[in-house]
Amino acid sequence: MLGRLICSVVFVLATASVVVAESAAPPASAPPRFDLEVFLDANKMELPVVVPGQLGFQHWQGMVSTAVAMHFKRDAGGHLPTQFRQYGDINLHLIEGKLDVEFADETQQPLHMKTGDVASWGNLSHRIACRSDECRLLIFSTPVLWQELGPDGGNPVPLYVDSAYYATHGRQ
Amino acid sequence: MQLMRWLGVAVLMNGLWFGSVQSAEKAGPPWADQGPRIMFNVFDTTSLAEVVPDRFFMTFWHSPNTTIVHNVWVAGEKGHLMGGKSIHGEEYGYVHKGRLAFVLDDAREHVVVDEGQFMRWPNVPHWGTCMTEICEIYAWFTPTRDDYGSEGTTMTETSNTWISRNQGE
Repeated sequence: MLGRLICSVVFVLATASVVVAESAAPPASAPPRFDLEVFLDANKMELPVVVPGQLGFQHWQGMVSTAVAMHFKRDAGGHLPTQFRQYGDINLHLIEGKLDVEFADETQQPLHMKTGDVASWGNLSHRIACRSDECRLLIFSTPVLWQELGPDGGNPVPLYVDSAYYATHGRQ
Repeated sequence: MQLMRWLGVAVLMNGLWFGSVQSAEKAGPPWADQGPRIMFNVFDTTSLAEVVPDRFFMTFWHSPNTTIVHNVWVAGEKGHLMGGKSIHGEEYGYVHKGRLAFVLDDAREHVVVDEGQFMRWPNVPHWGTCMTEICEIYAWFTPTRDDYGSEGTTMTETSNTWISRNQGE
């Protein structure tokens, strides 16, 4: 009985100490307070070319989410090969083109998207494949892809692109 | 020694409790996961629900940790609906038609967003309004907008906090 009482008291004190600590002490390094910003114009979507002739790519980091714009182009060799990825909850807006989304779990039906479609899915392994000469798209995803893509303006391996392919074909 | 053992149990319980709360916060409500799908097309607004007659139309969809809202403002004879201050996590938006203006809570920033533009709101209070006869946009939120309820829940002038907050102001 005494043991339970001590346990309860210690539990309450420990809980209170955590709550007080979280509410009173500012974080050692406060996260940046992002501004409200227009970051992309679909009518003038000129992305940095990361795979010449085949892919433009750019990303913008938020606090808990990431926006990614991609512009696929078919060249003499076709579209660049894409691979399966799984990186959180995703909303994909196909600005222009025809695009298929395939899921590693074959019980999930693929999505066949056309210009203007907006699709979503949870944290599932998937890949995208452009079915027209060009595909322009924007992805919103959460959680933030900080480890994967790094800060805005960097030169990461683009999403869905095999690192070996990027090493030989990408802008380095 | 006995005290140390109970202290260990208490710390463990404390950790489990906080851990469960944090895990619960990471995932949205179970009804939010509807699986992979194409939700809408930005060129088609015919299926949006009429929330405020002739003036405001919207439909929303959830995923485990996000919500997306497709909506249309129409000025008409009464002018545009003026919503209240909003704060609801991180948000992105796309303007398909029209022009909108937004201002952050402390008025440190005013932004005008035109057709074809994507924007991001930080997780701070903000206002927005349509500056043209019609505005068609969609907005993407994370975390999930639990306040909307499950998909298909009827949205009204009073249940939509963006509209209801400004009543009487």
